[in-house]
Amino acid sequence: MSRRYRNAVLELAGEHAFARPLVNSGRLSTPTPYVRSSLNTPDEEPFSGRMAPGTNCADAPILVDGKEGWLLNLLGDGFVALVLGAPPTVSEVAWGRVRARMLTEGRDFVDMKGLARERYDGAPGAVYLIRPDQHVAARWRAFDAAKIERAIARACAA
Amino acid sequence: MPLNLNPNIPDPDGFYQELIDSQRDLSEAEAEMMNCKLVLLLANHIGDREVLREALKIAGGRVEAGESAGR
Repeated sequence: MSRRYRNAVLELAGEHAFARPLVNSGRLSTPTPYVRSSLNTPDEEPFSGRMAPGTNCADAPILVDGKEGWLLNLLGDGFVALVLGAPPTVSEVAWGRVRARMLTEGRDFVDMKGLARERYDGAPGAVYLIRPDQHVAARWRAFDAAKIERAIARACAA
Repeated sequence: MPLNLNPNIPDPDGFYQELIDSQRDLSEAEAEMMNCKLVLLLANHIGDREVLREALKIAGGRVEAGESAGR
């Protein structure tokens, strides 16, 4: 049953502010990887490291507007498309009314110690779709808006 | 304010019909998803943790007492 509530929270959080604190409450971001969840989009390309779809996001020290911060603080609050290097030209990807905010390394934050790239096996161009509960929904070696849209739909159990 | 267990819905027959009708054409999975969303929507509207806890108990849930059950 907790899976159903989890999915309900994720769907509601896309459109309704009230559900977002539930996403971030800790209940949904337990460090249990949902690697077998049907909400994940399986990898099409090889990746190393532990950030497989379904895994809770690893943190990394970063710079935002010249100030030191943490990657996890930029994730959550809706879907995020985390782009490592090679910024795409679009500013967001949307599946219906569920949007994924673009978060690009080099533009929105600086991976000052290279740990984000290391932990996410992020050769330039790598894209991670991050769920509102800071879990990886899908990842690709290059930006493809249509694939991201399909992965958002899948993550919403649509 | 305790959970209101007295009749509180104007036109109760109409509401019940609307509730049943709203799920008539849904699959089991869709109805379950809708029920979960409905619980979350109404719980947020109520907002009062004491009232919600009382409702959880009366509905048959297993509920620990007090705020410590929160996180």
